[in-house]
Amino acid sequence: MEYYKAFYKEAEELTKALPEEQSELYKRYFLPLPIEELYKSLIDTKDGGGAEEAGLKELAKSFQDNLSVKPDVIVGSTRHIIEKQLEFVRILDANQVTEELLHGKMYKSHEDKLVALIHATSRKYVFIDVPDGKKASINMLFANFMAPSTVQVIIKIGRESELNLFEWFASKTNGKGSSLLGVLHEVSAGPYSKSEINIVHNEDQNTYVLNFSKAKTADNGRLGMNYVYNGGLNTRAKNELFANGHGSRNDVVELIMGSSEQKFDLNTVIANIGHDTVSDLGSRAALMDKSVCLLKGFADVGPDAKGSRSFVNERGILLDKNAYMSSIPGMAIKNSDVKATHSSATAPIDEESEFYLMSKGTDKTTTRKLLVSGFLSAGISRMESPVAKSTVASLLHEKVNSGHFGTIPKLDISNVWFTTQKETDMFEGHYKYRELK
Amino acid sequence: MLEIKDLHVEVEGKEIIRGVNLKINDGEFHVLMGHNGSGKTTLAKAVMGHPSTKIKSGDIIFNGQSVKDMSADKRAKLGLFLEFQAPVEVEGVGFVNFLRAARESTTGSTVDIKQFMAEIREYTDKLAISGGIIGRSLNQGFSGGEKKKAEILQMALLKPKLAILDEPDSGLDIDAVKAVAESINEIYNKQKMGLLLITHYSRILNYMKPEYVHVMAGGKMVAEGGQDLILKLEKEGYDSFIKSNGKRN
Repeated sequence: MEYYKAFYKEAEELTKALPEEQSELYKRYFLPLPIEELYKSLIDTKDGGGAEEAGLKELAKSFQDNLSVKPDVIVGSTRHIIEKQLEFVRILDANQVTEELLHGKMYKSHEDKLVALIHATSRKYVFIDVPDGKKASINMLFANFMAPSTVQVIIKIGRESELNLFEWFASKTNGKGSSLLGVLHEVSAGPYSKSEINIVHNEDQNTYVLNFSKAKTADNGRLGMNYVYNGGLNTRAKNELFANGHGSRNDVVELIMGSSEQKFDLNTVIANIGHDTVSDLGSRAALMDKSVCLLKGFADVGPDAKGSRSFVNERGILLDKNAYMSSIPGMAIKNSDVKATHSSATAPIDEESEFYLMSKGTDKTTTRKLLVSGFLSAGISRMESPVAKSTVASLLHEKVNSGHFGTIPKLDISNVWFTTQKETDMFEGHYKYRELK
Repeated sequence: MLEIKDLHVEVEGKEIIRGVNLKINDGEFHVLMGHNGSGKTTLAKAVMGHPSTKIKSGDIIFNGQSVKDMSADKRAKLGLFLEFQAPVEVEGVGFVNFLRAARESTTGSTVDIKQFMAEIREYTDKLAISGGIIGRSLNQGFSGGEKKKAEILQMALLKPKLAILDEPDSGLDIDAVKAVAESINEIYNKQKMGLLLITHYSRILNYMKPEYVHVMAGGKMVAEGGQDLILKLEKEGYDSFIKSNGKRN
């Protein structure tokens, strides 16, 4: 790891607590992470060798057996396996990455100390470059098998191209201390492109999760970014999505399912930069036991975003009295000719709905499962990829049933009902919740 | 089958039901009428165990056992069914998924989905329900009439021993009232169940033949009789019963 240390000498310094993190306000709105400890574990990681490779293969087989999805590529902490040669995908070790490949990189190393941490410790880089007019569908499995890992995924989608990317993040730590799985995505969606990227986190209970992404969409491009946070001990995410080109559209779904003492600290910014753009962020969290979620969605409508639309909708359902959620939707509008809403509602399970279902015969446990599955399936319905829909539905079904996470669930979509949601419904919904206050 | 004994019920600290007695035997068809706010819906909710209703005294006996401390699902498993005046919209819970879960819970056996779908189609045709609602979330996006019909569909599929229908005619047009009434008649005759139909208006009763009629006012039963009571109500209105027997809540 001397290579990384030399390349980012200052990263170690950055992992130390910053003065603002000592403030009470910061502590209220951000969940703490043991950055220094995680950094040390990352730089001490040894090459997993054959054991890691065998472990990754076993994980991929289990994934295929249980969910009927064959991963094309499996990326571990120090090794990777290519199951299917893909035309537009390259996986490189950090020391193979050239400045030319990183040209136009959106993230700057020092803009966030967690970004600096990922930059300083990424062993693997995944480059996905879909040329103009091409289509690609890729299933990827990432795992920090017996060792912490960070990875960068840099995606370029050409003009009139289509990308359907499914990523599943897993970990296997065997209960030995805390580990880290960090991922940083950079997505550049070209003009008239149409893409969906599904990022599913299902790490085990010993894993800290970092999820960072930046995406920009060019003229009339459409990009769907769907984030599912189901696993991990403590998750910190910061995702920024820019509808840059005129007529471009970014749809963002966040689904959070917490149990035991899981913590999620999610920061998402949707930005309308060009005119006639659409940015739509829909977040849904269902929290059990003592899980905690801080949900911070922010819509930024720029001065040149005439005729644009922006939506932030954060919903939470608390299944236990010790579960906690704080949703803080925000908005900055710098153009008067736009349509924008933001809303937030968190509540325990609706008593009327519960009584309604129970009065027809379903017991309390089944009723709660139906209601939570229903609540989350409204988010799943916004995903387009059948692979994403079925695997995420299975994952959340398992969580609702058992509270377990971090393992690969069996395919089961029997309790999920896929619905469609129109923009107008969202407006009506927002006003409905306002009235309820 | 159902016996309500001197029932007193509070909602949010206010006594709404003030000593109601009612007995419905196996297979009997009763109608409960009354003005707005007379306590009809509260009585129905109390029988089904709605958490907002607090039973202060009295008892609800169903098939020989007291159900007043049972949860709603246990009452449903015993054979009670409540058709809601304003069915709740439940996001993301598929109509068929819900019906299947409810049927499996009440019968304790796994549903053969193919056969179950055939049963659903039979009643959607009879009730003239658009096939589209089958693919939607429970009650979500349903019109007022569709919600009412969907409740009747649930009753047909869940096969209760006693169904309480809380204003199945409200929000329905003339043709739909007739269709719903005929479907209720058919289900009632086929399943040999007891029926307590709650309504404001006698319109739906033009197509039905109840054996017993009860009138509520001020949280009490103020009149009981046969079909002739409906004619009297039509002629004199509720006020004459209120003046002589009770008061508005």
